[in-house]
Amino acid sequence: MTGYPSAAILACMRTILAGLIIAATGSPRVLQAQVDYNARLGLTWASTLARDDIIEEIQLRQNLAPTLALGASLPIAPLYRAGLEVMLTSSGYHASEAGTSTDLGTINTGSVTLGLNGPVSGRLSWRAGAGLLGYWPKEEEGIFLQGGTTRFLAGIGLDYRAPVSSHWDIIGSLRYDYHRFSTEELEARGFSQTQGVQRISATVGIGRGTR
Amino acid sequence: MMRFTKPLLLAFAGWALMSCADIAAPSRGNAYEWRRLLSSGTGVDTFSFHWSTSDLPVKYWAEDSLNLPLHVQHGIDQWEALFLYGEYKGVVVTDSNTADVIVMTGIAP
Repeated sequence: MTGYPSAAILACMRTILAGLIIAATGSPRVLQAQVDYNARLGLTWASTLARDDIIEEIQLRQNLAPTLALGASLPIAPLYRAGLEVMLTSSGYHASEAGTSTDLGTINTGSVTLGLNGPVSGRLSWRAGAGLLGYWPKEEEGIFLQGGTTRFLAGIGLDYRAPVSSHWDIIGSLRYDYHRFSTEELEARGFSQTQGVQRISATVGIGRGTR
Repeated sequence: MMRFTKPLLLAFAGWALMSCADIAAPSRGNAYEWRRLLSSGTGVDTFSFHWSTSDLPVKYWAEDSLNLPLHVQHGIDQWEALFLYGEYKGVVVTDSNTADVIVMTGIAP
């Protein structure tokens, strides 16, 4: 899961992202006018990364993570848009054991999802997407002793847009996504299967929309 | 909207349901509870010790002889790499008064 196939998918996504950027910057005005882009800041909560049992139960969790989200989309049908969303987080992570918490350092994560957007009602719209999520530990130790990992990711969300000028909107977004987590080090230590990790993020930002 | 959303939601729910199992830790039947049992004249004595989280990092002072500080640092690195959850961290200090452990050269028995 972390080797060649994800690299191929990442390459594909990079191509699509490059296409969107080119469409937004170097294409005819008609296409440029249809590109919708946004930037948001917020927080991401994540469920347990891994569980272990060494006399006492040990749980590994990320702290609440500051989040930067960037998105761009193009219309594909009268009511629907397709687009890419990049979400970056950076936070500490810790091990909890019998009421004691041990700080284990910092993890940066980055996700790229290809998704669809559509209207719910009024200013509210939905988003569903799938892509890849990368974990980049600041220090290669513990469960990340052999480095970070890249996982497949799927998610859904809601966006609320309130126009503040003829082109600019304020956007509030909620995202839920899910992936299966493990690392090369955990596998080398005899961990089998993977841990289901759920993340919920809430972000607020601005978007240049099409009306 | 239903033309897109229903299949997407069903696919997402199906994928989540199919992958509900948690990660499975390896069996650790041979774990020891920081106890060492030693026979004594009156039976078996239990010696218990471990570095608690508040003790970390354990401070080592090594005599500057035969490259000992470097070897101690290498030993600390090796031990740290064995632990997944930060149970042990060590550091070499230059002042022996602040050390938890003092390492000196000696003649092998």
